[in-house]
Amino acid sequence: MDLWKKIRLLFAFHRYFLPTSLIIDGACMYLLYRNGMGAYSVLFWFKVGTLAASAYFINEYKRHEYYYFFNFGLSKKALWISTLSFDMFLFFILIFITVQFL
Amino acid sequence: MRHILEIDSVRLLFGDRLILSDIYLKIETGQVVGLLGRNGEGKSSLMRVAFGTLPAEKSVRCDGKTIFEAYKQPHLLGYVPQHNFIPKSMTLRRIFRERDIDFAAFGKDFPEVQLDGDTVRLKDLSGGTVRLIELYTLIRSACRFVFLDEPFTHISPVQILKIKAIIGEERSRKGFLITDHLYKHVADLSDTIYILKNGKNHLVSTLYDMKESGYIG
Repeated sequence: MDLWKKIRLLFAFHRYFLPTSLIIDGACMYLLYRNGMGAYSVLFWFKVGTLAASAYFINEYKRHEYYYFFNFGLSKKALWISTLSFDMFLFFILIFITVQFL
Repeated sequence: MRHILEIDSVRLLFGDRLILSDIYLKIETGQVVGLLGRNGEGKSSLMRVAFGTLPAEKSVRCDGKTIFEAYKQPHLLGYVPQHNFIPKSMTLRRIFRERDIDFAAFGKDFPEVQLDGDTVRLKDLSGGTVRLIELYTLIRSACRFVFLDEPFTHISPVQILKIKAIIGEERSRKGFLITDHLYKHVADLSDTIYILKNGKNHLVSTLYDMKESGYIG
């Protein structure tokens, strides 16, 4: 499978919780901006907790759709590692940008 | 070139209950194998075990070479599960493009289903049309082998005939394993039929064999 197709498929999976994730990231940026770096550790664990909750709901309610990705050779592990890594990367980038304005 | 997919030494337990044991299935490209059995006999489980998404003791080989997780080789094996599985937010054009299948060809095969592939998403369609698209994209895909779990459910009789004709076209380069309770359609298509009973598969060749096995009355 070519890399571009793989990226498209991984993004299709990531779209399941991208809207929720962006709302959480936005809230974290706002709270960090208002409260300063002292709030960072709480916000980090809040982000981790909401990611875990999102992953649980996707596993429960979208489990049939895993077969779409299996049929392209993508395992659950590959889907989750790439998606969660990208999501955390995005979180850190947004936090870094916010810190520049503190 | 002819390819052979073999599945054997399957042992699957759910708790203490033995679901599958003493299985031997052989599917060749150019062949359709039917798998029949009552509810709960393990037909879907057997497909998922062979596909590599349900952990169990097993031996799956293609041309004699052992495969541990067949789904990780998408050009080897495709699987249409009995439930809908394509994300509902996808447009039809994208679904076909990801499988390298011409969307216009679908319109020719099913002229009664005229859809705008760029704007229509799967969530906009009826259950039967969704099922038709799921089947079509896997049957027409570049896989050597395709497993179809209850392919005819939700499909109208006239479309079942078309799907059977498409399987007939594709079988020259693919092997199919099909299970469905519409056993007459399965029997029409199949070169070999197995009945799954008490965790074991039995070769059947006549309607009488099916009656003897208790699958039909």
